[in-house]
Amino acid sequence: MMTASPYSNLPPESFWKTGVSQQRPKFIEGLYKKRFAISPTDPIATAGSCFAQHIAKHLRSHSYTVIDVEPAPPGVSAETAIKWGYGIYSARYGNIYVVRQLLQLAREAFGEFTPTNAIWEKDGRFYDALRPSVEPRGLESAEAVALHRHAHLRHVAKIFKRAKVLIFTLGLTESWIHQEAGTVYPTAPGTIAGSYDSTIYAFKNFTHSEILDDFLTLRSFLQERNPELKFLLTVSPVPLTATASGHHVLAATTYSKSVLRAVAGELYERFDDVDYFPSYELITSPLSRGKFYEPNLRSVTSEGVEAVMRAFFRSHEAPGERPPEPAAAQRRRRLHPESQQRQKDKVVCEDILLETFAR
Amino acid sequence: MMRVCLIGNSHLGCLKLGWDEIATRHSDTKVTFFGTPRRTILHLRARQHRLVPTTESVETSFMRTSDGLSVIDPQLYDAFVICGLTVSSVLVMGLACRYTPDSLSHLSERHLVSDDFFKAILAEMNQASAGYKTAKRLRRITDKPILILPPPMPSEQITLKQPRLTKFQQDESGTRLATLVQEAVESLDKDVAEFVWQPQQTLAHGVFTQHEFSTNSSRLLTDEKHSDDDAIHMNGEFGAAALTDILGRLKGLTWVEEAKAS
Repeated sequence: MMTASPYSNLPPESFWKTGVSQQRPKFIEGLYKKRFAISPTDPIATAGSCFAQHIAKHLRSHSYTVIDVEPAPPGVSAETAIKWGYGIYSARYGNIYVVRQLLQLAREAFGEFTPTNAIWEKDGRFYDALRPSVEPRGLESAEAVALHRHAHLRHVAKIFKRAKVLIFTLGLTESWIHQEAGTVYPTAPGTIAGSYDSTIYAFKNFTHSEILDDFLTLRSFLQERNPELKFLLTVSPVPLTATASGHHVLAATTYSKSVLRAVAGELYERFDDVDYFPSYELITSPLSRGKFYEPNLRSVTSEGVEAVMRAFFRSHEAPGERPPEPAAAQRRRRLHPESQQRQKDKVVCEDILLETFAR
Repeated sequence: MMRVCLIGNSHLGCLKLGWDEIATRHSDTKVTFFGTPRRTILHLRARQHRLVPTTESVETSFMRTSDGLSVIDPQLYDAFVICGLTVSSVLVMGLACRYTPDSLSHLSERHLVSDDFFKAILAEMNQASAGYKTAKRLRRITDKPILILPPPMPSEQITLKQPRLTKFQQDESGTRLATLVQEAVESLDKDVAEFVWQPQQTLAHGVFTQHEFSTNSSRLLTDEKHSDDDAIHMNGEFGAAALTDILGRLKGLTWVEEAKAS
């Protein structure tokens, strides 16, 4: 059949004018169409960079079943829980910025990987180098760190076995690794704990093919243990706090996000069990005119997060707002109303510490 | 004459019995009790520099326990002791059974938490307690010393009803847990109030009270005895020991002297 042009029958969202210029950023039409349904009872695992924290929080408040295998005790204020890494993701693994880090966590949880130099020290206290922010003051001994990690990994394995959907936010391409063993760390040695030794550690900027390979390995590894597992990918719209690449931080950010977006796009095209949710586009596109960023031009505003989640729930038909809290929970919340409000939009980002190094 | 105001709930009962035993040895001290059940002490408001009940039942309880006074007027006392209204040791043991702090990792590794986090939880729980809130209300209207005496540790007999607590009687576990509790309240604002602990000689394994101090305990508002298997409330002997400690401590505080002088 012949038509005037292959573009002539395309829907409005295929054209910049009707798909973007004539849209409002808070209510953009047709940006996201779900690839697979997520039911309220499907166990969801969340992981990724700081932006992923918003997604987990909103899914919980809309009554989705977000797995939390390491919950804080009931009644603890949100402020305290977050400070110790509770309630942020499906377990207390902290931010996972690069795919290699998630892959090594999955392998470690199933006993197929042992990280090198996994315990860092600072001022006589000991930190888990693979999640250094979850204990603000570290622990008393290296043995205690090992014991906590062992217990943590047992919980992590449960997540990967139980989840039906893993929502993962791709955050960065830049990372720090152990030169010889290849262990990836979420923060540069010396930032939170440990010390930087250029003969041991090295900067690593993962390429498109490396990230793609890592994800393919991760997908196979997890689906061997949990064949029903599907993936929903997002790319964090939060720019780099700092780059060690030698390039301008803006160029480095564009490179990093472009690579991650391309990997997500390729995975989406290749696999029916991989969905891509365009939160990155919604926040960063010219449509939003930068107003979804805080004055530091880095952190995403609560308005931006709401716009993102609105687009998500429009497609996924949120099962509803969280049902009324039981009286006991309301009482607990009343005990800490200020901290609950303060914590509402707060996320934990280790890389923000790098700003302290800015001259 | 040192005038001490004791504010509390059912745990005030043992202190009242104890005071009856030791009053003659403390002729230079006057003690006034303001008791009201459970957490109803929260039904108090600061009005015209006094703590005033907002419900009739609290007012009635105050009048019965204080020999006719319905409001707490800080001008009439040199020091205050808030009794039995913060986090109980039973609650702390229950928490440690589900979320095991590092110091007790030999008990379980199911939900291991750091000592720091455990102490942060305890500090929050104490801050949210009726006792600490009452101390804060009182602090807004007076500069005089305020002490907080937590609820008595349960009698060792509690393990008959709650066998899971026996683990705190072994391997120094109870003592380690008690240390965490004491370190946790260290982080609370000492300008509001200072925590004091039940006498060492009454303790068993750090988080229990020796059984002899819980036999024949009486209710606060009536002379009725608590049931024989009540492991939570203590007797007059306990009250006498606790009050002797507290009064000794208050007499040693220079600021009580300053309060008396003013």
